[in-house]
Amino acid sequence: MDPKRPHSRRSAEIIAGNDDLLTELILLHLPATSLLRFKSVSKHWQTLISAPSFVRQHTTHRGGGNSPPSFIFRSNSHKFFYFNPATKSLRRQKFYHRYRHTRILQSTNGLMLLECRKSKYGQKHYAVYNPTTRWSRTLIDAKRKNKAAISGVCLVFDPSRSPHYKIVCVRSGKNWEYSNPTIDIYDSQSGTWNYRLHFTPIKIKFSSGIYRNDCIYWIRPTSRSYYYNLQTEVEDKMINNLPRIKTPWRRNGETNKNYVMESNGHAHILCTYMGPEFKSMFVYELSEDNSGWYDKYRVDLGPISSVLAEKNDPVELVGIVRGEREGDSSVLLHSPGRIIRYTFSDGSFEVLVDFRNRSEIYKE
Amino acid sequence: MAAETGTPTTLTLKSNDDELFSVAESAAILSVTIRNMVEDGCAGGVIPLDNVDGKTLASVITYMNGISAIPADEEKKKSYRDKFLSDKDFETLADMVLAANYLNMSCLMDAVSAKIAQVMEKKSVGWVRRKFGIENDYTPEEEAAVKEEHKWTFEGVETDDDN
Repeated sequence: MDPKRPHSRRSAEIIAGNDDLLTELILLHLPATSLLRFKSVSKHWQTLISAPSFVRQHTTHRGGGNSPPSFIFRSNSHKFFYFNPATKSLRRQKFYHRYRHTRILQSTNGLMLLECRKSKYGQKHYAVYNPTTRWSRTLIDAKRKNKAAISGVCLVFDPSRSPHYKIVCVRSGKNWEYSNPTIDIYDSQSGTWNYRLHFTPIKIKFSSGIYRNDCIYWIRPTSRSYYYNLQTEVEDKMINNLPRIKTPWRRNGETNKNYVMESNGHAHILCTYMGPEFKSMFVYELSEDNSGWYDKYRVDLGPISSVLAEKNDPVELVGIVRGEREGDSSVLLHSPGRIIRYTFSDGSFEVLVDFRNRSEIYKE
Repeated sequence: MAAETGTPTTLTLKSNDDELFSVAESAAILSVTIRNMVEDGCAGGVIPLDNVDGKTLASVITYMNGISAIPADEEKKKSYRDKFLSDKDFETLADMVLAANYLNMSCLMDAVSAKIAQVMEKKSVGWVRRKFGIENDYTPEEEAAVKEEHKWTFEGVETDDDN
């Protein structure tokens, strides 16, 4: 070593020469797309980045932060956009999947659950898809003898709890409307399916389940709602009733349209009345212990007309964002040409995206 | 620690190129490494920091003083960190993250790592090799194959004129 310049090795070289430093200080902080590209740096980087232990660490590390939720806008079967309300950025993504007809059933923490068909009326398959790595896995359960119809599939993935995902698949007998459902659970950690039979017949469609607190919820604003506890082994505690809710079906002559949405660990029913003259919204939140519904917000959305392109443009709800603090909560609304944010705390409307300036992406 | 006397205690830190720095103990103990030395009774004399050069240590001390002057408000601290790191180039950031690691200052380390990731995110493979002094040990065929496998991750990569 040159005595005059004892530290001639640059810091970056020191970091690169030590796997722990390189992992802790650099690689864990990079987004997945960059990491995949940097596999080309050298064989050693490729080995480090591909190591299962690193992948696991990276998933939990990146997922552990309070990253704000994104929403998906889909323009056709091969393209979709991630919209991040915090940065107002729309990120274009192409779909790489071998099935021509896909429907996004669910998107959670960077993984998607797809319903796929080879042709328009072909047999349904389900797949887990990672849009970043473009990796997908079609869920086939070869060992299963009972080919009962699938009445609902739900993806459980929360990287702040576990880097592995689960698929909860509810099957009903032939008479699906009123039968004993079986619940098949796939665990990506073990790569195996588990079956549980539910003995009490239940009349419910098990589509559009939402995941929260280790439970799957099937919430029906106008009929019975249920939740399934993933942790319990006790058969009669598996599927439970949720308290019912009464949403006024008409207000000021406008019929309601209900939405069931999860955000930041809270389950909501959003009940909207969107007429040309009268716009309002009720937000109900499920209590932490599943015992009841809070009357969370009642909002007059009439003033939205001042930020619409045309005063009487139709308005649709896109999603709810529950902030860490009460004042950060908002809903996203879509009206022709615009995405608008309504913040509950101060009753303000803000146009987040005006598609008139971005005609290249607005084809829906 | 001399907290109960009310007089602020000053520590003297020595970089590995023999520069001496005075810093308030209350700010310096943001570094767990320094705090342990103080608790072990090394604070009387000069605290030698063998892995940090003078230029980097001066910068870290600026940070220590700046962040400890902010009351317990995570948002203000975060915006101070963002501003503090905003004009630093990659080499300086690499110096700082190593120093923060050695000094065991997790808040600075996380912030610098996040900043480095931001700088690197859109960089080319060649840029990474140059900056980290890494030799390409792929054969041209192997390299082409690994690039082909993740072809889409090369979309939108910055061109390398920012050496």
